This record gives sequence, structure tokens and C-alpha cells, in this order.
Amino acid sequence: MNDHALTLLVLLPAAAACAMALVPKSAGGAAKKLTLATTALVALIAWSLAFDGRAGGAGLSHIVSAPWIPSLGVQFFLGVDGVSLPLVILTASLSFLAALASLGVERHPRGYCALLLLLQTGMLGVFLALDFVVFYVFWELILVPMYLLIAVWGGDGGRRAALKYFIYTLAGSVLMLGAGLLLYGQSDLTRLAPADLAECGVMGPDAAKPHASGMVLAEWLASDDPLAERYVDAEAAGAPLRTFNLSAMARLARSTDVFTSKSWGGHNLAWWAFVLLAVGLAIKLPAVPLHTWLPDAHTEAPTPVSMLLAGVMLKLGGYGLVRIAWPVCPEAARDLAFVVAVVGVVGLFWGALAAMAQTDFKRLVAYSSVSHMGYVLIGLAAGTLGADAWALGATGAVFQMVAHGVTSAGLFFAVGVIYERVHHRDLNQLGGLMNRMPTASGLALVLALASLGLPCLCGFVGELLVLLPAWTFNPYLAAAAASVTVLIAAYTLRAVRLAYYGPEYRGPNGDRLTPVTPRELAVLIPLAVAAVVLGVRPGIVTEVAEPALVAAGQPFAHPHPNLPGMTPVADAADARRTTR
Amino acid sequence: MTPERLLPTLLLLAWLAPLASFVVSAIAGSLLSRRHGGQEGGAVDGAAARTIGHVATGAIGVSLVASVLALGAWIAAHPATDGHAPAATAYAGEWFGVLDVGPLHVGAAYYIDALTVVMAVVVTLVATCVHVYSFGYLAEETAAEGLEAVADDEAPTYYGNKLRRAGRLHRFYQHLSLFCFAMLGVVLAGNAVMTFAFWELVGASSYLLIGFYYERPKAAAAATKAMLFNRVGDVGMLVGLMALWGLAGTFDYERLFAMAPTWMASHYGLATLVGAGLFCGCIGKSAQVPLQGWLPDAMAGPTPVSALVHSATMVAAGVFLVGRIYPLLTVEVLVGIASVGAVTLLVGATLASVSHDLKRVLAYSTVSQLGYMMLSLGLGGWTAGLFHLVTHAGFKALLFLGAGSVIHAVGTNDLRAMGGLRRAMPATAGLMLVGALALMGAGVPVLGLGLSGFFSKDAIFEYAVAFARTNPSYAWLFWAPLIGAVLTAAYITRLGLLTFVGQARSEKAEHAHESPESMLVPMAVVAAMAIGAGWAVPGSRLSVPSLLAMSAPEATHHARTGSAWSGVTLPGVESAHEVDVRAAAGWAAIGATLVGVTSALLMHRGGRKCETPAGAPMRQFDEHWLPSVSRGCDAVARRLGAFVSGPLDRGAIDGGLAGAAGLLKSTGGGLRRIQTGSLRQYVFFLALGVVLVSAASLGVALRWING
Repeated sequence: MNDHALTLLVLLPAAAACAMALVPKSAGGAAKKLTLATTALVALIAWSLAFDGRAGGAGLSHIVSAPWIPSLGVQFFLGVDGVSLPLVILTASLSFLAALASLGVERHPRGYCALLLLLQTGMLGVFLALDFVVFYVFWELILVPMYLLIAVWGGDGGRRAALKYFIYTLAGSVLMLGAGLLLYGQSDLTRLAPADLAECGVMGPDAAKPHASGMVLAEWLASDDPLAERYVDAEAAGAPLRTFNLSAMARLARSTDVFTSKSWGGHNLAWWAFVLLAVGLAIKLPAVPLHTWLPDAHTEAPTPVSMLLAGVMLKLGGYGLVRIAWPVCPEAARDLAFVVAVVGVVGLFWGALAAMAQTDFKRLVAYSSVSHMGYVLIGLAAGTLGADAWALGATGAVFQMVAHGVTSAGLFFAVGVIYERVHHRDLNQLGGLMNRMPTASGLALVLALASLGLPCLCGFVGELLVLLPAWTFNPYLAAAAASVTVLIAAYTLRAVRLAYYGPEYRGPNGDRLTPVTPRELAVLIPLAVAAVVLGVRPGIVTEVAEPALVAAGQPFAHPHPNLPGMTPVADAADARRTTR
Repeated sequence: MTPERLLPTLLLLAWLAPLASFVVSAIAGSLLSRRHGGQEGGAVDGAAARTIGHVATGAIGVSLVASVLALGAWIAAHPATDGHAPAATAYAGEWFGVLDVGPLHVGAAYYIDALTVVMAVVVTLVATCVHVYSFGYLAEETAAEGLEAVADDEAPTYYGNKLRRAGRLHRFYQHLSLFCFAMLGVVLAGNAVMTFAFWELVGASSYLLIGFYYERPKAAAAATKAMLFNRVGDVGMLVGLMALWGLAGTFDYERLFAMAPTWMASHYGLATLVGAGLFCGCIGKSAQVPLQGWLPDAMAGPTPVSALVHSATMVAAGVFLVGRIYPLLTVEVLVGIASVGAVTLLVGATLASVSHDLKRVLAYSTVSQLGYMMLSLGLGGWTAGLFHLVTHAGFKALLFLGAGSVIHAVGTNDLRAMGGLRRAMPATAGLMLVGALALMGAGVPVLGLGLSGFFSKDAIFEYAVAFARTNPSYAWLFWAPLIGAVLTAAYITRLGLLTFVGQARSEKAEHAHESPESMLVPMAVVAAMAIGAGWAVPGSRLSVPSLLAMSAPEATHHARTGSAWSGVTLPGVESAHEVDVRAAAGWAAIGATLVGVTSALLMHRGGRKCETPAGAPMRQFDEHWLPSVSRGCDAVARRLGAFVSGPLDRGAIDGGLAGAAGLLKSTGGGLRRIQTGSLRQYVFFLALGVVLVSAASLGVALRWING
């Protein structure tokens, strides 16, 4: 039986978006309230996933699967595991807060709300999709609403920035699609053992449940599932049965040699697929040098869209790497880990240095995102070293994504609070806000400290988890990554000093610096609280994510004979390493 | 209850009480300031702010009582011996886990030995005194907005008038509670990650406290500078932690200390890197050369903060950490630590001699004294260095609280505007004299009588003498502290002369008044500590050094030689305690002090002359050239950033892609020209195409036929 919680998650916002057409043009307020209610409901459903005791283990849960394009083996296949669950909750919660932040939008509210809701459908869909085609469709679904939100509701340069965003992201998705087709062309479901087929959800949702041993191959083959019929035919003809099922692809990569056929340039097919995937997803992450769409898009986007852009959108890239690129192409990931790590470290420096030079507060926060996402790449690269390294590095990368989602969304909103009042974001003309709006400033300070990696706040945990395996991977890169913390502190504290400290506000529109409103507090306080809670109890994310990551990272459990970088220093240390 | 259950329980209480106070004051303060006057930004009512202050003071009082009880429990479990007893076992364990990922386990763990207990008492004692003292010192911070609002001279406004703002005493106590929680976390920490976490947290609370007067550009800049300088050191510490993880796969102190001898034998180079990395963090936190620059600037914070955070406790955390991780440090690292300490103590003492700013003199004095502690630890004097940490906490807190009392009365930090204050402020003058004497280590060597600093400084000199004897080529590590002792006596004499002796040199100094009792009583308490912290309990051998010695690392008991530099031998306890070494050390220390006092009396003509020889160029060096280094680094980073976000991002990357797109477009444009719409041309192209394709097919077919 399908569990339709996830279908609801994905379709509710889309349905509400369609319903916007029915809202009369004059009732902009109603449109915003409907959006708020929808996102609240979606957030509730998302949170309920965490508490019904099924999601969050190593395996998939809440599976929805239905035939979609049987001739190609495409299934409408959704599910959630420990990797996606925190990101789904983050997305649903941030969407609600963004809807709350959008209550002040005056321009074409119906259209705005419809696009925001479509955006939410797309984002949730990407995190929940387990079939490459479904993943890709949702991925592309995000593109247009985001383009319009930046172009129409953004600042003066909105159209240009939106176009740039569109072109970059589209280029990324084309590369990703290429990788998907490459892999599809070599995949073969008939090579998988029946137990694997069941766990991958190929045999339907019931068979994928952990204790569904009763459901056997024969029973599935006898059912009227079109996929089962094609499976029978393929078996009979000895022909391969292609699949877009992401879990099945990961299993094929792990237990068969279908993806290792020699390909162009002396590399195998999985290697090329990895390159396409990594470049395509790195655009979204964004990784240097494919990041230049991000500062422009952020600078022009309206505040709630910026919150989603930084809080969720950037994680799509990281999630794609964790979900597809690394598990499906483990050999290539290991082969290219050094390159990935270097790109991560360069990104760390690049973003941090660029942030140092910004005078636009929002652009500064945007560049800080480029910097923080570097840790994700370093963690994933270092994770290829072995089982322990993968547990630390990948968990650190996922934690970093969640933590950055909280702090960047919070900081963008804090900038928005200022912009709403004085209509500029020039750090040189701000100052003295601590006395004019103490509560907002205090909360912004908490978020800024969380973003600079202060322990007991959420930014630190990801850094630590990523840096520990990075040292064994390559001590020089790790030391470089550690030294960026100085730059991160420098630009963050500079922004705090220029915006909030100082004797008085001397910029334009000083008379409009009214205290923060309850609605704004309702956005800021949950984010600041989340920053503290994640910092003090990081286990709420790591304990959920780690089992699923370990399961996905099984190919890395057996270290490659030719380790990139240096070998672990004290081999005996592994033996002593026990959890106390 | 057994000590292994009782001690963690008591210290957990001591640790969490300030946290509770922080949470309460943060929430209550925000709610009150919103409610007041119905709008945000309104002041918190003065009485409410004082109540929050009382809650914080009560909380730190609870911590003090719990720490003292813990000390008692420790002493009861470890009867005093002759000081050479085998190392007492530490109580290590964990209160609760926090993070479990793969092989990594991090929890709120404790490692309790004599050092922990003594530090906990010192921190909570000084903190309690500072909490009480601040009610008097920051009395004006209870003012509401409006006519009686706080007027701030140092925050320039656009129209040049004084900035008027509401008081924020509650915020002060909120940050102070956070600091106490974080500092006790560092003291109690049972694993290196917890140490690092609270290490950063004390840094953050120090940031908030230095930036308490955030309207003042100087304070805002100083807070940022302090955090950044600390971060620079912490990069080294992070590298040390990563290397430690690669080496040992655990962060737990108890396990690390147990396995340290093993990896010292197998991975000596990496072990040295671990030690050096962790010490980098200590360089930042304890303001050692070359990262000393933030501490004098940190004096922009309120003076009670300077007394607690920037002299007695937080800056001593670096010394404490070296003491804590001592078993992990190789001889090479220790000699490096001693060298850094020696340079630092000279630089600090020199710059303390020339500054005209009362707090800056004391700040550089702190830098210098921290250098002494590092020197001692580096030379193998574990007990001596940490003993000096304890005595220094007492007398330097006293000196800062006294300085606060003077600044409160005179309204300026400038020594040139003071003078003759002993008449108006006899109690402050007397207490400051005690602090000054303790700092210079006044005492009578033959009788073994003296103030606390006398004993701890002597102990340090014993190691310097013993080290110089065994390693004659490193004799400068003896001469540096000796010259430093001369300078120390000189600058503190100068400070006393210029403040209290002679004639008043300004209007305000003439009309100064003694400070209220709420400020004097805490000063008297730390004065008692400054006097007696070096003494043994009458009728027993129990004293601070004998207590600390119980937990001295095994390595300090005997001489050690390094592997890489085999020329260096660290003296053990025995060689430092030889009779002739002790005598030489005692006479050297007291002789240097006498020379320093005499020369200061002569140079400053009994307080009538403010300037020190070569003072002006030194101040120029201190206030202009040294800060220009960090300003330069900042400028370079921002230039680089402008280059990255400008020419590279917009120019090279965007421009390159735009160029590629343009090429595509022009190619398309070229191809478009073929589409002329003329039917004749299309037919021509069609025919051409047919011919070409046919020719090609024909070619292929022919090749196929020919085989």
C-alpha cells in the first residue's frame, strides 16, 4: 500500500497554487493567507514524518510508487530516509517562514503566492524523489517559478540576475540529464538479486518495508505491475531491463559491473557520469567557478525568496551529490576526491575573501553561502577514504547543509528587516541599529555567531565533522580549510560592527527605523532557536542522517588500495578507536 | 558520597548555575525591555536590572560555594603530603553525551584533578568579587532613558553632542554569567573538543563584554580585534585537534594521557605538531607574542571585565590549557613555549613601562605575567607556573579593581591627569599598594615571608636557574625573566607613583572621592588572596603549590631530554629544589625587584615626572606600528576580496561566459545569413546537399564492395 503522506507533501502546494486562479484579483490578502495556511499544513505533515517512528532509519519509508511511463520503466517513486528527512523538514519549515515573511508583499500577490507554492512543490519533490526522471522533473519545476520571482518581484536588476540564474541552472540540469541517460543506458534490473529489488522499491511499497520478507519475486512477477511484465520479458529474452530507480542504480554500482564498461578517454562510464553529475550539481551548490549567478540572484531577489534560495536551493546541489553522484559512482568519486576537495577549499577562500570586500550586506551574506558550501564538498571528498571517514564527512556535510539553511535564511531575513525600513543595505551607511531595534539586532547577532561557527551554535558541528576526516585525507587542504575560519569571523564581525554597533544610525530614512514587528519576530525567533538547538543537540540531525548515510556509503567502507592524499598516520589508532 | 561521585556533582552545579542565570536574564531582559513603555528599545527598569544582577550574583555565589566544597572534598580525599607524592589519580567521566558520529564521541565530560578544583575556586572567587563590585562601578547603567540617561563621551554623534542612552546593567550581568559558564566549562572539560568549544565560547562572551559599550567605535573595533586575534590562534588549535584525531582517534583526556607515551615513541614528529598546534591556541588566548595586540585594546571594555576576563581568568586559560595537556607536549614544544613566554614577558614589561594609560599599563603587565607562566611551564615548572596563575589572578584582579576605583573617581585613564590620590582615596591606595607589592614579589628571602607573588615568582626562578645550569647555551631563558623582574618592579612603582603620590595634576584628580563600600569590600577579598595565596595553612603542609603538586604530570618528576634537539634537558622537580638553586633564585628575584623599584623612584623623581626614557618612540611603536600590522592584513584580505569578486567573478568568469555566449550568437548570426528566403538559393543548397550525400554514399559503397 502506498503511504500518501509524501504525495500530499508534494501535491498540496501545487494544488494551492492552482487554487490561486480562483482567488479574485482583489483578494491579495486572502491569497497570502491561503499560502500561509498551506505551508503551515505542509510543515505539520513534514514534522509528523519525524515523529511517527518510521522514517529516519537506514532504509526508505513512506514509499509511494506507481507506474508512470511503463515503457521506459519510469515510476512515480517517492520515499524518505535519514538523509532526506532533515532536509524535507528544513524545506517545509523555511517555506512556512518565507510565507510568513511574504505577508508584506504588495505587488501581484496572487501570482507571487502561486509561484512560491510551486517552488515548494519542486523543492520537496527533489528531496523526496527516488526515480531519476521524477527527480529531474521536480528539479526543472523549480527553475521557472524562481526565475519569475526574481525577475518580477526582485530589485532593479532582477531580470538580468534571473536570466543569469536561469541559464546557469539550466546548463547544470542538462549536464545532469546527460549523466542520468548515460547511467540509464547501462543499467539492468535483471542483474539485481530479488532482495535488492525489493529494498529498492522496484516491487512496490510493501516489499520495500524492512520486514516484508514474505513478498517474494514470484508474487511480484505474478502481479499486474507493468514493470513485472517487462521484467519477465527481459528475463526471457536475456535482454537488459533499464531503470531510472536511484536506489537500484546505487545497488547496481555496488554489486555489479554494469557501469564500469570502458568509455571515452580511458575512463569508464560511471566516471563520465560522475563528472557530468558533479559539474551539474556544483552549479547549484554553488562551487567556484560556477557560482557567479548566486550573488546577483540574491542581491536582486525579494527577502523571502532569498531565504529559500539560500536555505533550500543550495542544498539541492549538495543533496544530489550525496544521493546520486557519490553512491552511484563511488569509484569515480574516490578517483576525483582530490579535485573535489580542492574545489571545496578554493570555494571556502573565494567566498570568504569576496565577502570581506562587500559593502552590500545582502551580497556579503550571499558570498558567505558560497564559502560555507565549500565544507560540503570537503566532507564528501574526505568521506571516500573509508567507513569512519564517510560517517564523519558525509554526516558533517549534511549537518552543514541543515545548519547553513537555518543561519543563512535567518541572516537574509535580518537584512530584509533592515531593508524594509531604510531601503538600502549599504554597510557604510548603516550603524547603531543595536539601540534602534535591540531585539532584531540581538537575534541577528546570534545568527551571525552561529554562522561563523561558534560552538554551542549550529555552525560549529558541521565544520568539526568535516575537518576531522579531512586531515587524514590531506593535511594541507585540511589546514587551509581550518584557516578560513579567520576570514569567516572577519567578514561576519565586520558586518555586525558596521550594521549594528556604532553610536547612531546616520544613513537615509533614519526616521523609519521602527522596532521589529511581532510578525518579523515570528520568523526570526524560530530560526535563532533552531541555531541554538542544533548547536546544543546536534544529535537530532546526525542520529537520523548517519544510518542512512552509512548505508549509502557502503562502497567507501572498503578502502581503495591507492588512497589519494596521505595514508592514515597511525594504523594502530583504528584499533584503539572505540566509541566510549 | 564517595569523592568520585561527589566532586562531579558539586562541580556540575557550579558549572550550570551561571548558565541558568544567563538564560533567565537573557529572556527576562528581552521581555522587560519590550514591555517597558509598550515599545521596543525602552530601557529595563533600574530596579529590575538590579534584580537580574542579583540573580547573576547569587548564581555565581552558588558556584563559589560548590567549588569551595569541591576543594574541601578533594583535600579530604587527598591528605597533604610532602609535595613529592605520586600523582593523584584524576576523576574522569562524563555527565552526558552530545554528539555521536561514526568513531567520534563528544560529550560534556569532566577531568577533575587538583588543578581543576583550584582553578574552579579561583574563577568563581574572583568572579563573585567582580559581580559585587560591578553594582557600584556600573551604578549609572541602571538609568532610564530621558534626562537621567547615561551620557557617553566616547561615542561621537553627528552633531557632536554627547550620546544619551538607556542603561543596560542587565545585559552586563547576562554576558558575565555567560562568561562564567564558559570559563568553568574550559576548566572542567574532560575532552579536547569540549575544551575547544568552551574556549571559543569564552572568546565570544569576551567579545560581547569588550563590546559592552558598542556605541563607541573603539570598543566595537577592540571586540572584533580580540575575536579575530583569538581565531588566528585557534586555527593552530584546530590543526592540533585534527592531528590529534589522526594520531589517537579520541579526544578524551584520560585516554590520551594514557596513550601519550606510546605515540611519543612511534610518531614523535606528529606529536610535536599536535603540541605546537594546541599551543597556538594558547598564544592567542593568553596574548603571547605575536598575538599580544588584542589584549591592550580589550581594555575598552568596562574595568570589572578587565579584572575578571582580561587578567585573572580567561587570558590565563591558555596557561591552564598548557598545564592540562602537559603530558601530550614534547620537550621541543616545551622549549618553544618557554621561548615564546620569555619574549612575551620582556615585550609586555617594556611596553608597560611607557604607556600613559593606567589600564594599558596593567594590560601589558598581564601580558608579561602570562609570559612568566608560559616560561615556567615550558621549563618544566608545571606547579610553579600554575601556582603563579593562581597568585596572579588574585593580585592582578586587585590591581584592576583598584584601577577601576581610581577611574571611577577621576573619570579618565590617563596617568598624567592623576597624582596625589592617596589623600582622597586612602583605602584604594592601600589596597593597590598590596597588589603592587604582590606583583613585584615583595618578601624576605631569609625568613621565607612575603606576599603571594613572592612565592610563585621564586618558584619560577628556581626552574629558570636550574634550566640555565643544565643548558648553558640557553642561558637567555634565565636572563629574560631576570630583566623582566627589574622592569616589572619599575613599571608598577611608576604606576603607583603617578597615581597616588605627588600632587594632583588635574582638576578631577583634586576633587576625587573614595569609592563606595560595594567596591571596596570585593577589593579587600581579592587583597586577602593576593597576600595569602602563597602561604601554607598554619600547622599543616597544605598550600596551593602542595595541592597542585599532587596532580603534577608524571613527566615533571624527572629530567627529560628531547629527541630532535638532544641538546636540551628539562630539569625535574629535584634539580629545581636543590638548596643552592633555591638560594640563587631567591636572591636573583629580590635583587632584581630592588633594582627596579630604585630605578623607578629615581627616573620618575618620586612621581613628579611621567615620562620614561625612550617613552615616546616606544609608545609610537605600541600604538601605531604594531596595530598597523593587523590593519595591513585586513587591508590585504579586503583588496584580495575586491579582486576576487570584481575582476575574477565579474570579469574573468562572467566575461568569459559572456564571450562564449557571444561567439555562439555570432555563429548563429552567420548561419542565419544563409536563410535568405530566396527559393532559388534553397534549391541550390538542396541540390548541393543531394550531390554531396550521394557522393559520400557512393564512396562508402565502393569501399564496401572493394572489401
